[in-house]
Amino acid sequence: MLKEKRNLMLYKQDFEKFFRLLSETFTIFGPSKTDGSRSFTKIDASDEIAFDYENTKMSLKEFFFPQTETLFFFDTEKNEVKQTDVETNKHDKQNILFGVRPCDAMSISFLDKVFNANNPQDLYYTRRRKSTRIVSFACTNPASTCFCTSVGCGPDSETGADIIFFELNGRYFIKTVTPEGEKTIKSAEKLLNPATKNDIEEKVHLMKTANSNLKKIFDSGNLQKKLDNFNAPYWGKLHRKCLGCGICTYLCPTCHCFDITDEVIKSNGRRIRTWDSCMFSLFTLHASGHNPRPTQKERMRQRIMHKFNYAPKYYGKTFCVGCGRCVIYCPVNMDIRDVMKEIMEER
Amino acid sequence: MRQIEYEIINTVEKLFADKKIDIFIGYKKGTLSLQTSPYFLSEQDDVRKLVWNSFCSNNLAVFIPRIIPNSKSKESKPVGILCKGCDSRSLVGLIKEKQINRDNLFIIGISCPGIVDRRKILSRLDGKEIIGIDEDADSIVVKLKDGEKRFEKEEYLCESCLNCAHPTPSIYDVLIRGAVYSLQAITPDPITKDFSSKPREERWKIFETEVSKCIRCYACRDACPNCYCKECFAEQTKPQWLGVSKGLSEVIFYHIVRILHQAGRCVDCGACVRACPMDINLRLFTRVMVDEVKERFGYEPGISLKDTPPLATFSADDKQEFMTEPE
Repeated sequence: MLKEKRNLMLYKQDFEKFFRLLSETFTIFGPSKTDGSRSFTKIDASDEIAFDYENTKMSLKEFFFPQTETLFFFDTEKNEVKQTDVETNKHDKQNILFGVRPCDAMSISFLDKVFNANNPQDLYYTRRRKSTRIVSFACTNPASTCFCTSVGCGPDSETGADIIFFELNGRYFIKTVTPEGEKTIKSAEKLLNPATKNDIEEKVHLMKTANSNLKKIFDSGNLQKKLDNFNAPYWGKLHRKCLGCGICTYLCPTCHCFDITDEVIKSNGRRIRTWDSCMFSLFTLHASGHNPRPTQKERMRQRIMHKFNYAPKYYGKTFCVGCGRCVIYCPVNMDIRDVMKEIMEER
Repeated sequence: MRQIEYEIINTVEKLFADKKIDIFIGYKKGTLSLQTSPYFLSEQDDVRKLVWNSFCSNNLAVFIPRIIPNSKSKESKPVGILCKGCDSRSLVGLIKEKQINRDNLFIIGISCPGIVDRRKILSRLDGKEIIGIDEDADSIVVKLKDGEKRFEKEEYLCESCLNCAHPTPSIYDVLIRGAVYSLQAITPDPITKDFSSKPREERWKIFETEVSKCIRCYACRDACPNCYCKECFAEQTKPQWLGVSKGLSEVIFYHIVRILHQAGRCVDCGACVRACPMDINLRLFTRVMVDEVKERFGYEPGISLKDTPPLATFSADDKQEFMTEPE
């Protein structure tokens, strides 16, 4: 870890230069104006970045854990296996994810626990992760659907980030969080000045306002205990309006379930890993035809339990960062904040 | 609106009091502005939470095959449901396709003034936070931190509502009459007519561009009352019809089959479009089929419980210019 985090200042008029210097060493990805902040896309010039975005529609996970990943190719006639670019490590470009919201940065620190653990370690995820720096952008204007402070995250959370930016009046307040973060800005060092006492005060004030706009809706700590009751009566009711689609899980930055399939045409095939969703009936369907989660009741319980009960037990963290994507995009307005409140209120 | 809401609440209250139903499906206030949420209530729940406004967008018929699993059984008490024109058309389809039994339903029909497209309004707010909503007969007033904005409903209705020929339910047990949207419905739909008139390559390009946004969450399928298959072709493994990846050929295949499965069945409610998180304009393609079926067979799904669906019958006069002789 970094011995001393540095607070630096960058004038907004120097941002273009800063961006160019960084792009000499790194390929930069960010929320872009061209796709309406749908996902993190390659940014070639600094003015393509959508700074005013709340959050991207697709979460950051698809960058490290894409919806479809080819694990390897094979030929059943020649009895051959061919590695992918990620496996052969031809993929060694250094990337910056610029303008990541603190919630998404934190979600990557959770996915690290799943894919980047010592044993087993996922090669595909880890290779991409190792070659990528995360530059967060603190939220000065959180959306009404954000509930990060209820789940131990926040508008200025540093977890998962290498560097975090704060937008002050006419300039950026830049805080280095990790040694990689320090290395990342090295080439642009001449544009940066140490932050003064005034700068720090302005930043603190800014984040105080942002924090006060975020209501703490529930306490995820108490929730874990509450959820130990697997057969609580509310499970019989909560799911009723759920349509069973995969929106909440696919847009969620921490949901990471996948399926592995072989696709073969004649003798040529590939083994792929694709996102899967616990909300789908097929997810737990056995070959025998038996389904241990036969209805949406069991499926929805699984989703909630995995995030708020199992994950804290296995990883020490609630696997929800409060980004609000599931709240915004659910077609039946199944609001996880409401679900949590209902569970908490149950005696 | 308030008056109608009051009527709905009174009717439902009476249904519970008379022991006619044990469960009712309607709408309650959503947690987000410009949205409502499906509301399942039983006698002990608060009937006053039921709402009726321009954002009651879900097609509630989708829940019926899930809660009444057997079409042949006669449940002890019918399930109560609030139905707009399109919801009732979906129920007619489900009854005709023998998925549900009419006797198992108690339908409170409501003549519908059209549903306001939340996304159309949101796109005009530049991401500003909504503090409150007011609604009168013709407009929606959105209150913002720095003032308010008025939206004429007529301009902000969902595409399917703008060209709805049957805002009043086709079947019901009780009908609550309210104002209906008065524009004359046009067949074929102007938007899809424009699409159909384009050259084949251009249409394909539009189709490809739209569906390439798909993330295969299946929300379009799951929001559709017509998609009641216990096992969807998209997820079948024996045989496997399509791969599980997000590749273009897979999403094209999925959408073509989903759309074609709607031929002569789609009631143009727009539930798929509203459910799609990726803003794919699915109606563009399903509505083409609605118009095609009407033109070829003079049939509109969901209007009558008696007429036979065109794809379940044949007539010697059926147009068949697309049939080719075997070589």
